[in-house]
Amino acid sequence: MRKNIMMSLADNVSLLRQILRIAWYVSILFFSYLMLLITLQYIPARTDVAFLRVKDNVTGLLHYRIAFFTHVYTSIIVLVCGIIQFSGYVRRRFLTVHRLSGRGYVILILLFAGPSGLIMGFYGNGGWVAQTAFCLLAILWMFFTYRGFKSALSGDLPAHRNWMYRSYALTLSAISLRLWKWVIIHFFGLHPMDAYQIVAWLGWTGNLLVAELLIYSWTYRRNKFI
Amino acid sequence: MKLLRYLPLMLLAACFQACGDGMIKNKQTDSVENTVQQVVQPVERKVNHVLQVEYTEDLIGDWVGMFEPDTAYMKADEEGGSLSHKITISIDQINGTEVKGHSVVAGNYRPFTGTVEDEEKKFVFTVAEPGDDQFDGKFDFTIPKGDSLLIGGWKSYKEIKIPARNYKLNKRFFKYDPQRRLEDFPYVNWKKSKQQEQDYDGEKSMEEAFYSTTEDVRKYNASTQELKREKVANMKKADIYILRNSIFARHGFSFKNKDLMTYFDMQEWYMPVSINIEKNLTALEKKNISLLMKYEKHAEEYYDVFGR
Repeated sequence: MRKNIMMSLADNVSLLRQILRIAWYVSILFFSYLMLLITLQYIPARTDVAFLRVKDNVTGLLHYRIAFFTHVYTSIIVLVCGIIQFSGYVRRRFLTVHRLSGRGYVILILLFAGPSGLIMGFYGNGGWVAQTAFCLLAILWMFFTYRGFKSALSGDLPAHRNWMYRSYALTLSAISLRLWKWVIIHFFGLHPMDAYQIVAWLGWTGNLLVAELLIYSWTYRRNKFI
Repeated sequence: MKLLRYLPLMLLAACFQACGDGMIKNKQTDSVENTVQQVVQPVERKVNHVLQVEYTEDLIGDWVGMFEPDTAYMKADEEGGSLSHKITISIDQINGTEVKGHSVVAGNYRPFTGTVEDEEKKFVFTVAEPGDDQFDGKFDFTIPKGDSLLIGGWKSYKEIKIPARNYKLNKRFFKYDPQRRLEDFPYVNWKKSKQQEQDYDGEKSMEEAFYSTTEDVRKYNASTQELKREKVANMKKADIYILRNSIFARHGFSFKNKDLMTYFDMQEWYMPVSINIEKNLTALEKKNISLLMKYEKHAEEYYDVFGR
């Protein structure tokens, strides 16, 4: 009897996990789709559309234009590459896929999306407040990704997982920044640049906090069982 | 059967498609009021700076006031205020009993011709618009001697929503003054505002969320100071919109857009005298307009949506 209750409890927990997992994949796919729509605004490469229309004080700079389009075109791939990396199923059954996609993720961030993000952060809207946030974000992004890659090569899988959670938390700031902005504007109706300065920080620090909490909870759980 | 299995997935995809488009693109195309390009040959006139009318030559000039619907045509459910527009009736030439002039109201510049009778205590005018515009009609007004008033009525030729109007205008000289400041009441576009019901101590009140001006609109004057990019970047769209249109208003531009008309009509100094003011804009104003336009478009499309 008691065993049955425990069993059904365990069933419920796994059901909840299942639902959470599905919700996660549905929302990440949905927001990736939105990001894709945003990316498509810049194909073909033009400087008189969307965000770039109000960046015409820097779109004259060749290195800014190169950085911008590099960032826009590679970041969407980085985002999508990351989606399957956290699936235990993929890692168990298709390790090669995990490795290939992971290498793509790392190379794109370290050589393209990260450095270009740093350049864009330097010219970012919202003054030094937002610029600091964006530059810090780009540097930490590359740093976490690099550490995650190194630890995978050296076979330290727990460290690999932790660094990569941090890395992907920052990758997801592309989405969370825009979500925060939407929330802040709808609930507080702030002036656009004031809101922008806030989300420049909130967009990635919140994600990183969640990642750290997850990492902390695993470490705690593991230590308890040992 | 196999198809059935994919159906929910397809529905979901379709849903995202619609949803995603909505979240990213939120275009409003009607709010940019562009100056209408229309060639109008102004009639040369002798400027008379007398405000109080005694003689025939004192009649020449601009007369400003509200062009109000005749009460007989006002429906109970309609607010009279939104149907009243500021009008400028200009008397340009008088030759004996012959009169030439024009009126500017609601973005319409219409010439008229007719006659004037010099009676003992007043001048009596009967003038008519050409009739090739849907909203043309006939003006009958009097200008009493010893005063600065023009009082009368107007009847349309065709059957339109408001076929009769009344007016009581004052003589005033139009002069472009870049120093003109907006008075302290907000511009609110109720259609574009997203109204939120808010609870204050149990009492419900409606608060419009977005499309209204803030104090920014009075802090800056786009006709006298060069606006800084960082300042404009942090402005809300209604402020940007009104700052830009107030440049046109100072030049006496007659708006077609109803909300702008209502807003600027309430500015004491505002006089609609022209529908083509592009050539009168100063270099500073042109510079500000192009900056404001850029951010106005941006604010409209991206201020309250996900992404850019």
